[in-house]
Amino acid sequence: MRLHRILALALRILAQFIHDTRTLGLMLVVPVLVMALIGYVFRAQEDGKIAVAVVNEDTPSGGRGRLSQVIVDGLAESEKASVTSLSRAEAQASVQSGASDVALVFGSSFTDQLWKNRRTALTIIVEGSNPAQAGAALGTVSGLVMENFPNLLKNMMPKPLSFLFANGLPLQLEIERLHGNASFTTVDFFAPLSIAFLSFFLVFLLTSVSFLRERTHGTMERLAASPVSRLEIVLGYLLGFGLFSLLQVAILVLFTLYVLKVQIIGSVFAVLLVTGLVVLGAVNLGIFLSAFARNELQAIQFIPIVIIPQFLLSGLFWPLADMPGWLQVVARAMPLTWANEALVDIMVRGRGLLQAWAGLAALAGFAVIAGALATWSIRREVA
Amino acid sequence: MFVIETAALARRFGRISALDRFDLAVRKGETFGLLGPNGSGKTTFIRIAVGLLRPSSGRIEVLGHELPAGRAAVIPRIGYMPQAHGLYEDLTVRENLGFFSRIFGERSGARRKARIDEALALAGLADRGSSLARTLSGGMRQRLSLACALVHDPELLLLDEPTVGVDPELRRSFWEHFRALNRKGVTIVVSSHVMDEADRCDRLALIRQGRVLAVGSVPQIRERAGTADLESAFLALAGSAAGAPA
Repeated sequence: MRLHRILALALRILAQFIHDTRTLGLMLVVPVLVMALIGYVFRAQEDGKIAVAVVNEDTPSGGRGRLSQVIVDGLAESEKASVTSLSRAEAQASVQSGASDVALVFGSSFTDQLWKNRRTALTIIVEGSNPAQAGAALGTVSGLVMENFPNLLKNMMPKPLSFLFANGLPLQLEIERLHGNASFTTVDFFAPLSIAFLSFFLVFLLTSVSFLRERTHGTMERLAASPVSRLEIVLGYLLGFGLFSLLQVAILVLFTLYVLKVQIIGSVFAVLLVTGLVVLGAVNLGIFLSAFARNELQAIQFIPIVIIPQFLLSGLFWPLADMPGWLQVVARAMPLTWANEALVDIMVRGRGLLQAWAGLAALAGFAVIAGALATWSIRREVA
Repeated sequence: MFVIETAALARRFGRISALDRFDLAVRKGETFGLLGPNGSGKTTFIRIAVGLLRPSSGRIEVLGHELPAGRAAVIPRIGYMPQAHGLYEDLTVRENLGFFSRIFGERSGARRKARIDEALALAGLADRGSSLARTLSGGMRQRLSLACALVHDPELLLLDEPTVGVDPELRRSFWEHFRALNRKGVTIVVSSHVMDEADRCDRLALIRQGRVLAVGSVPQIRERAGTADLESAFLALAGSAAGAPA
């Protein structure tokens, strides 16, 4: 094995990038654009107030005050909700049209029931066609309602006793986060894997296409009739694409941290290391799979096989532990699952490289196995 | 002595026999033609001689080493021009040459530059050094492809149909290059399916269905077949080979 031949291959790949400005743009600009979209979409979702339509039909008997008003006032004061009072029919129309995210209906016997049975019912109406949106709205509104319940109880005490709760209920709810903090948003959770995913996807696609060209344009034939060995070819590709991806990932990470202001607790170096391992695996996998494609279109056809399952099973959308057993096995065989775990460990949980060792080892193992397959796939009868 | 020598060389792809009892010898410093129709085994022979394919049986010795065992010793001394251009479209002409020069082990920048300049001049591409390969015309690509095979100063050149799709003027300049290389002691093996290229070779082998019909200079072959031109000789020899018992 000769270093200068590996360097020659790596330099060639870098020179090809420089001359192919469109691909250069794709590799450096597109990840940033996609990351920006991910960032702004999730931010927009979280920043918005929830529009709550309140239908208050509460009519207490015996001249008592409406206890429902305590909750409505609490909602109105909250920063997370904007409240409008409507009739039941108006509220339904408003939710239907999307003007309101959720409607709260206090029935006519809300106060009476509470006094009489110590329990009462509250109806919440959501549009429901988008479960994620509905879930988020429901979560926020129920949270706000529960927050205001102590005040409600206070109102039910006889005046002389209410001093007991002057400082709220004896039970105080304190939320303790093991990781992240109150300002942690979905983007902060999505960002780590998005970085790894974008690099994996683009590098895999590019390697498989450029290696396919090597095979179809006859340059592989030339390399095979030269002193360069199969391992040197794979290492040269790794070095060339590795150096280039380092630039790509660095731009992406800087953008994510300083423009999107995604919070990361662990070290940036660790993030680069994990992503670097992901990229090495992607290069090797690209070389290996390019052997099974006869043209560029066929290389593109690997995307639904290689990319999409990894995206769905990486644990980003669906916790690994909740998957059926056999699917967990499949997910464990995919590098992005391990990358996601390692990156969440580092960026969200603030763990060090040593604590994320399992993910790193799995990624390195994947890169080595894919590298062996890649070397094997460069078929030359005479070794 | 002989630069390439084969004895009962054979190569099968599954049940198809691409080369069979293939015997020939190429002398140092000559231009040797492999002449035969498409699918007659020319490319298979060249790929065996550059160490890309293993013989199924028989022997082949290249530059004094038996293949495939002696491949590592032989490969750096051979220049190979495959049928497909084998160029990097996204590299400039000079970068293409520089890459192959590096791959073949030229580590000194100054020597590499000298070799590249020489190859560029030979291919008539001296003024296109910084053009991207994808912007070159078909003939220019063909010349660059030849230059890439030459850039490491090989002793033996194996050219697979180098003049296909090349206009007559360029074809003539190719043959002039080959002559100049011969004078420097470089041995050239060139395959072609065009009969009128045969006259330019010192010696040639007529090939049909993986067998060597005849080896020699054009006059020798004509004489043996008793015909006035090479094409009739090919047909006559092919006829007697087909008629003869296997």
